[in-house]
Amino acid sequence: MAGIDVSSERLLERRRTILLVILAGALIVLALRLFYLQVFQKDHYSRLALSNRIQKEDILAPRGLIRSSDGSKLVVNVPVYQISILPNRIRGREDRLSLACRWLGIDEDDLATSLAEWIGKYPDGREMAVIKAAGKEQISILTENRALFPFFSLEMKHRRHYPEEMLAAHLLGYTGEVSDTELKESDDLHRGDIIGRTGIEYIYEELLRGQYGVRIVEISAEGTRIGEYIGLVDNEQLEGNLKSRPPVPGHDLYLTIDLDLQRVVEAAVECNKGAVVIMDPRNGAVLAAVSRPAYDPNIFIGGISTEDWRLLDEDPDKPLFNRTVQATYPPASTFKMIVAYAGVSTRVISASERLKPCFGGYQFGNRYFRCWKSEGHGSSDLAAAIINSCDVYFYQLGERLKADEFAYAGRLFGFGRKTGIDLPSEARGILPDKAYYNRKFGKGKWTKGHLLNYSIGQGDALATPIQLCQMVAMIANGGKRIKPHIVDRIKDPDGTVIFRFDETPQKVPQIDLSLLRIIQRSMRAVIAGETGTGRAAAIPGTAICGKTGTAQNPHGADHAMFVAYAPAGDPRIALAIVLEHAGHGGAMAAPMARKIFSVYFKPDDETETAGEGER
Amino acid sequence: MSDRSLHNLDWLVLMSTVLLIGIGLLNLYSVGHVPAELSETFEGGNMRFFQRQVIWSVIGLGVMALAYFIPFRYYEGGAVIFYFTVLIMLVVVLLMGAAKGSSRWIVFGGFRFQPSEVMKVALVFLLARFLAEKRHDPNRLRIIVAATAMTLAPFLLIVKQPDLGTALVYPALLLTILYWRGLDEGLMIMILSPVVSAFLTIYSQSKLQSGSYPVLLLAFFVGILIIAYRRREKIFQSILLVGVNLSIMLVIPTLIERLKPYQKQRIIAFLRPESDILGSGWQVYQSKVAVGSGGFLGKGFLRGSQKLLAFLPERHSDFVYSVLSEEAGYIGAIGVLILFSVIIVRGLYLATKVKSRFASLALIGICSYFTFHVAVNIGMTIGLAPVTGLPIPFLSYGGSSMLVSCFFIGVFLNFGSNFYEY
Repeated sequence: MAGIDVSSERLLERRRTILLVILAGALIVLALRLFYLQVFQKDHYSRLALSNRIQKEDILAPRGLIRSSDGSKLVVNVPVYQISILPNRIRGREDRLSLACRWLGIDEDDLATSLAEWIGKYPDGREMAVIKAAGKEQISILTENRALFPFFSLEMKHRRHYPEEMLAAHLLGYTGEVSDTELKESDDLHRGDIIGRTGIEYIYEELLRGQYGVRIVEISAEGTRIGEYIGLVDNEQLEGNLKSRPPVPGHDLYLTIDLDLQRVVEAAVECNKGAVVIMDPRNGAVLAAVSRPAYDPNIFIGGISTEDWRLLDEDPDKPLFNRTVQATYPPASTFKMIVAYAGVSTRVISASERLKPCFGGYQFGNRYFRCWKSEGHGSSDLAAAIINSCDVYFYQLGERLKADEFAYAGRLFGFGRKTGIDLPSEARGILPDKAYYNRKFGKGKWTKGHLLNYSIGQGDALATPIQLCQMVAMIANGGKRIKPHIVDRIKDPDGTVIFRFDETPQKVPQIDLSLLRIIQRSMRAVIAGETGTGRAAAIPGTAICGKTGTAQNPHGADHAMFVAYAPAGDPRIALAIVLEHAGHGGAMAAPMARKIFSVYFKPDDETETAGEGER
Repeated sequence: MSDRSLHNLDWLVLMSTVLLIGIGLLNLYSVGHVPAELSETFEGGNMRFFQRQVIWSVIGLGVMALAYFIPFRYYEGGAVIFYFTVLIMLVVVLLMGAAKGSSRWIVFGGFRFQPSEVMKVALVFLLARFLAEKRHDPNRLRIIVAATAMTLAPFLLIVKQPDLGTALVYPALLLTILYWRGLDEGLMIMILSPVVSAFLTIYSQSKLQSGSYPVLLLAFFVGILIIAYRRREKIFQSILLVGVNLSIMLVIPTLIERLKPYQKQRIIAFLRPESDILGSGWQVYQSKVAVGSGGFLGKGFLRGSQKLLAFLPERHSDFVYSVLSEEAGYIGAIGVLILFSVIIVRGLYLATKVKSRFASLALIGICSYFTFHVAVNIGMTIGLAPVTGLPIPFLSYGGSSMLVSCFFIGVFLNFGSNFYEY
């Protein structure tokens, strides 16, 4: 008798009785309920089942629109007709299918292969999309021959359309059809829905997506659709809920983008690769942003072919890459404002102090560091060093500064961390400090030489165009921390504004305003001074402040860079330009800035320009 | 093998099982069948589920025979290794899921199987083996904690998948097995009554109210008071029992008030799908129309009309019972209930008869498995239980569920044929 003795046997019998009682209870509840439904309520449910076959149809909700700040549409919805195949209706009609394929211009073998794969994956007979965006002719062939080809269905869907084509493509992003795993994770998604994949479309997915409506329709006994369900005569509580529900469209987004300015910038950027960001330094609103090379997001409308996608995705120039926030570059000479700020604020120099003269280079230990100008600049103070972009002055500054002092000043102006702009995959950049060098080279294994490179924005330091723009905006606005952003306001489907960006930038208390004024004046002279490196950006009538940069990089010719803001007294725009492998910043990037400024500050159109600045 | 002869075989249970499998196949055939005159308008005519289920049934019968002939000692001996193997599979599923979205399956050649189903077998055997030890007194905290831990590990992994419906089976298995092993009834009431209280309280809330629940709640509370009074010699326990239940009945309404509207909506939609007919209530509504319109005798085989309609695609899995009830009527619906009852009641009697405590506990686990699945699945199709996605054994389409159920029956018959030995 293994284990079970007499007392436990009695215990088991008692417990068996209790379990039997519980089981009987459960069975009785189920049996009574079944009896109630199937015997007492039979007539009621039979009426529902027979005379009123009701079906539920989902009604598509349009996705929210994306508009520029003045309300012009940047992204809209267009109806496309999708042709799908119903695998269960093919049997016995194979000959008609090949006829249909010939008429519609579908490769029959391809279709057979993908259909076999589809049925293996989804054995429940669900429909498979064959043509994502059918042409007019295909649509008319199908509608005229509906009875002949019962295995095809034609369905209207919304697809995104970008009326401005390439314009701001990287900001807006694109959409794609929802995947199986995404479907599983969300209750709100339906098969065939499109969701944002990158850019604004991705970040604001939840708001842009509408809410499906439901239509209750009556189906006759023969299975044909009679029409919308009105309700039974003997309405009971249950049916009270069976009312159709209209779809709720998504929210409309109004961007900070100034469409006119964006157009100007798009036209002005004539390089293969690069990025331009323009911001309002008073609040961080991005007024224009261009990344090159660009692509036309409309190619995603009909569902992009794998081949096209591969070409786009594997293109060495990376057209899908949003360089304004994802690419990092050595900030080069545009970083000299930060180094100058670090030097004076830590009191290793004073602003008026003249350092050892520049004769085209600087001997440091056994290494010789060149200035960009081989003839040299002579002896400079801080202002002259910025105006002429004298490397030797900054080498000497770098020699006196500690790594953490660079990093502290850089951090004040937003380097080394994401700006937090509402775009996906933003890069952080690199702002080296002592810990960084220790990590990279080992404790004590790095030298002042690294800091000399750091002092001219080369070496390990990396920044995104949006960070450069943020820096120059903070210099312009007197050291106020701004939040770069791209969505200005959001309207719900009723047109009520549910969000409006209204953060007031706060002055960063650690930033020394009088020192900032010196830097601002020096930047003014970069454009206006006789020897300034940024003279090519000057336009009559508007005081521009700027700084050029020429970034050496291991991949080829130098990157041309330019940062600027204007007008000097009351800055309304701040700009950063990076042109990959284009050469000197002063020669290549500054003239591009001039084009942009000259349109933005049109002398004959003073009033309109002022009006634009108000926003 | 000759002493493992068939003359001791429990033919009643075997016949019930075979009948259920047969009914299940006929039913799936009907699910996939569309009358010729309607084939133009309704998608369907889809025999794939039926065809696959035929294969699963054949394999299932093989598994049943295998389980029948495996000597007893292997079940007890292999319980620990089996449990941990399946546990690792659950972790793998979760990790794979993390890599590519939620997933409940392990793909094995062309077949997919659900470790969460196999875990039901593993857990029953592990708990049975653990509690079969004479010194493992189920009323000692250490033992309760250990048994709970064995249950909690797979429970949490499956909740994470996320598949709350399947996960809820495990605590049910644990409680029945502990109870059978001799867990103090007072303690049992202590554990179960707060759950019932909470359930009834939530259902008594205004938005869920259907009249009878507040009455039930009151009756339940009176029942608690009576139990407390009858056990008044253990005054501390009694006060605790009343206190815990009372506080649940008082706290839950205020908690519900504090929820955000959308959270409330979710809970309500889960517990009472009919309140959200256009959303999750649609299936239940259609299911009830199917069941109700079936009437006493049913519409006849292949004659159901509701199955053609909207509650795709769950009619072959979670809601097969409503297709059956539509075509076979009250007679058929009750018939299936009776077949399941035969298995469960025979199991309860066998569990008191077998010599080995391990076999006894395993049998109770098997009874608990069938009871829970049948009650929850049928309850769901007639609007009595939330829609959890639990399959009904032998009837719902699905290989993992079919194999586990067949395996359990094989074990059952095995223990039954050899009860004088085990």
